[in-house]
Amino acid sequence: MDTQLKRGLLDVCVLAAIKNEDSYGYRIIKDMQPYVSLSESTLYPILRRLETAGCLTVRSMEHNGRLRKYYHITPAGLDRIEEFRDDWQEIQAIYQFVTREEEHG
Amino acid sequence: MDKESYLARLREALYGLPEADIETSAQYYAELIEDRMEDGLGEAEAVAQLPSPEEAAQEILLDKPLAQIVAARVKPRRKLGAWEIILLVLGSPVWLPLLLTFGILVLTAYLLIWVVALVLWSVDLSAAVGAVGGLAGMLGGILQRNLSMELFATGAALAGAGLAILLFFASLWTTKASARLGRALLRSLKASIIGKEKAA
Repeated sequence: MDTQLKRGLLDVCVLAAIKNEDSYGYRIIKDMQPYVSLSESTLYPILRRLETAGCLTVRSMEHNGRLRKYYHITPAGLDRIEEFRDDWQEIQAIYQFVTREEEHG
Repeated sequence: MDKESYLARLREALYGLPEADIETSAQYYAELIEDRMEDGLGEAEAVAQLPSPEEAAQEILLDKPLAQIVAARVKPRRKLGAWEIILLVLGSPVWLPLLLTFGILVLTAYLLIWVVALVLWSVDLSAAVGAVGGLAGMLGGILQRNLSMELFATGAALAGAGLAILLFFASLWTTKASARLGRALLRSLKASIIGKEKAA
């Protein structure tokens, strides 16, 4: 898949993983597993990027005597998911057009 | 491999980045190992499920700006001795021009990528100006009741407009392709800087 396209999609996937509830690294990867396989080393730059873009905030919380980082979605992050839903309508229309061409050919 | 040696190798591979960056990255991987162990895995097992420290470091470095990667890569691991500094200064007539040449070559490659798009946009603009000129000629022809001039100018205006519209899309596509190519070039440049040190 086009790397630029995949990058954008993974950003939205990670935001979706923290949409309903704050989450942490390991759980984000586990939650995404059935749908997209994402390696730990790929997740890290995505989280940093989303944080810089203001799509999520990070806070450290005590868990079993150690610190764990929780990621919290911001309104900008929610907007990004909305944008993706709008884009998807367009992509679906394009997909239908492309596959229709194939059927005729 | 246990957690401590994993983190030590990661820190080593990230050497040269700001200390805070290295710490945040190490904390991230430490947390992943601890969460896996909490999930019932042994320490070695938990570490084995992660990408290698070098792979992890590469992903982190690739996301940094080029200048930061270069700065991190040339940062000496210990204080330079007096004779090393003297050698560096004495050798500067050799390594400075070489370094400059390399930098200029990279810059040239980057500019070359954009030249095609730039030329297309210029031609597009000329065609658009030509179309407007043709339109003016057409009006002039009507006012002067000069039929041949009017016909000629109309033709020129139509040709110019058609070319301008066609070239607009070509230019747009080329600009996007140039941006993609530019990003790919930057990424491979970063990868080569990161990778070279690893092999050494």
